[in-house]
Amino acid sequence: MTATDQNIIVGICWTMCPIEELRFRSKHNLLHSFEKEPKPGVQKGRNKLNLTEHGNICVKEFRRSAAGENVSNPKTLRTPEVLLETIEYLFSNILFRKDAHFNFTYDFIFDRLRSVRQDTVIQQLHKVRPMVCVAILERCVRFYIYAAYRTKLNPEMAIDLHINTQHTVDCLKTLLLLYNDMEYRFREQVKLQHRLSMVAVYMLLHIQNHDVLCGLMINVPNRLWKLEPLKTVLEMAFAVMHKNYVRFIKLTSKLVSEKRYVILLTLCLCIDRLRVDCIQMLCHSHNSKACSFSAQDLCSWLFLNNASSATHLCNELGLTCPQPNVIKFFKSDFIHKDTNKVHGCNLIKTVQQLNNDEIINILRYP
Amino acid sequence: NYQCYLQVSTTLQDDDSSVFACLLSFHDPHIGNPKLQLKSADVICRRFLESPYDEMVAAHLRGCWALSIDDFKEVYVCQVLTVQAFVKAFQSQKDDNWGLPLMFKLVLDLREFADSVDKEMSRTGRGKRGEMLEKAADTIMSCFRVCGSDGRSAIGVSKKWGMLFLVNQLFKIYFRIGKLHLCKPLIRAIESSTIKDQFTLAQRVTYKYYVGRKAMFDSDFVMAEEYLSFAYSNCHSKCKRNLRMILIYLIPVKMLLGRLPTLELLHTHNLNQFADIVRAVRTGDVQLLNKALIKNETFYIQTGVYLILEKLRAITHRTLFKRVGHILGTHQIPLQAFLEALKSQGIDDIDMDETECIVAGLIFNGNIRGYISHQHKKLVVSKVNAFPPIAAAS
Repeated sequence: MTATDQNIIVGICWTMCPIEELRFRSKHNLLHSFEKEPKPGVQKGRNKLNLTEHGNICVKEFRRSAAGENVSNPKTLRTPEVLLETIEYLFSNILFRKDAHFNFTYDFIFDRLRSVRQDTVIQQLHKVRPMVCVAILERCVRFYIYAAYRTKLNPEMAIDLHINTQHTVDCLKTLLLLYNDMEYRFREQVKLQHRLSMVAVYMLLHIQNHDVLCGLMINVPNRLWKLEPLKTVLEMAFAVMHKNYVRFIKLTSKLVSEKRYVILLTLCLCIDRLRVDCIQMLCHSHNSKACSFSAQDLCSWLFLNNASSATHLCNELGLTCPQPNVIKFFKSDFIHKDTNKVHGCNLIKTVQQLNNDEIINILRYP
Repeated sequence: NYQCYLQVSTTLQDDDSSVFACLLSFHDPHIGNPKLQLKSADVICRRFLESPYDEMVAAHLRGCWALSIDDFKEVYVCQVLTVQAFVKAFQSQKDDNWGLPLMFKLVLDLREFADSVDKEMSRTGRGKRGEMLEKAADTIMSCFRVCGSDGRSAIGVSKKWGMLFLVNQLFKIYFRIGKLHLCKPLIRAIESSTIKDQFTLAQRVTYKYYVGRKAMFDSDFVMAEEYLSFAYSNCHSKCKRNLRMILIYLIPVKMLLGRLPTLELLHTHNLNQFADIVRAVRTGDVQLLNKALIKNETFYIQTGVYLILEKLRAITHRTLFKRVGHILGTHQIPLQAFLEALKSQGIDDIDMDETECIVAGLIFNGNIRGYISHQHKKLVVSKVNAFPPIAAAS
């Protein structure tokens, strides 16, 4: 045992929120509205300390470790089990609350998940309880992805996608390292499946980034590339590399039919960029005055459901339509920009069919 | 027994670093001498030697002892102590670089021991892959800092001459543990150095090899070709193993830039794994490329060239389409002809849209000059130079 192993702090807080913080926040009226009303039945019996009626639904806030602040007090650090329960509580009881806008719940859950992650880092759970750490991070990633997807559907929402993506990627990077460190524990099917889908998510988020792909191919063990869904996603990455968008979409339908929801959610996030790239390519390859492209045909190239969204997207990128539903591709007309509009496609349709309970299940599974 | 200590002491007085280096190297026969395998030699070393040389020698002797009982972890720990003591001594020697030969030996041993501890640990499942190597890299960095910051001494006695060796050792570690991003500051340090072309050829070959590989991973193929070519043409012709290692990367990069190797070259260097790929690219056989990629998948992934070889698909498509165009002898080539060509090779899961998309991608990347008429499903190629050479397009 080395010196660092001995200094690991073990949390002893058995509630979602340490008592000190609870006292402080209720005294200064700093409780979030989700933490105010008592919910009978939730976490009952756990809170033996019988503090206030708020005790059972209050969740530890994220706090930056600042000078003078002791973040490593075992009393304020939750045990691994409580951390998992906290996430469970956030997903099951907060995420789809009818009385609040998603924006509002997102801010709450984002902050509380951050504090959960902080607790895992301080306690060095990645060393002590790596599997718990994996479980926590996987849940976080799925939540961030889902939130990003909701923002895509509804761009007016004031969710900062940049920060959200940053947290997603941070979690994924840690996960990838953890997976490699504990190679031998991934013999079990369920856990392996989650690992595969997390690698796939990371890859999709960086699908146009050659370096990341290269790094992944070196660091992820050989045998995993032959397993679904990673195999399909790798083929998709190759398709994008060769600008073979038609093939990319063909492969996507495989993921749809296999109901790989987490990956489909991620795809919703990156498909816009690929559509723009596809149109850019067509502007070069179909650059002719005499020729035109029917919007109906274009749908299957862009993974859109109807001709009008295809036309709309092309117009947005500076292209003209001499007749309805006929598009003229010109190199000189094309304007490169990111589109924020959501265009209907089978991808979003498949995900939209899910009800709230199913989504919760996807987020917290296993 | 005492003779050895006296010899250490004499070499120190004579500033004879290469002899001292041998006395502290694990590649020297003295490590087999049971009288020098000492668990604790601190006291005796202090009698003969000044600090920090006493620590250095004591740690080395303890290392010899640990090696004799096959405790690699302990050998590694001792070697770290030796290097740390060395850094202390080295740092204090202003305007002098006599310690460089010693440093080379110590660092080489350090990396090799870290490697064997790693292998041992991951075999028994006790530790993370690359953990020791990563720690060894930190120790090597402490040497690098001493060398890199020695700006004041005259160039003849500068410690900067040790930089490239250390950088190469660090590259070896970073490539092994897959942390290529850590190479960037090292490359910058070397490239900005005024003596970068005056290091020994062997060190420069190693350096160019790693930087070339890094450039390949960063998709800078022109630079990768330049660096790897330098490594290949300057590598000692008897170092078959090294030549082969360079070729594993140089061949795919050259292919991507449009220059295919001869089959003899592949044969002499035992690189027949690339033979089918070369044939596929030369003749435009997409199906053969697919088969070759599946057949040697493990080799390609392990060496890290899989992605580059996958990129050759575009060139293979181009060659195939060029041949189809030649056979038809027209400037308006029906896309149907391309589709049939692909199908005749045995590629089943392809349709018209995908064919059109592949052609569109080739036009976009400059591999074909022309445009597609979507209504007529035809590729209209330019009358001159419809399929420019790969070297021009990339």
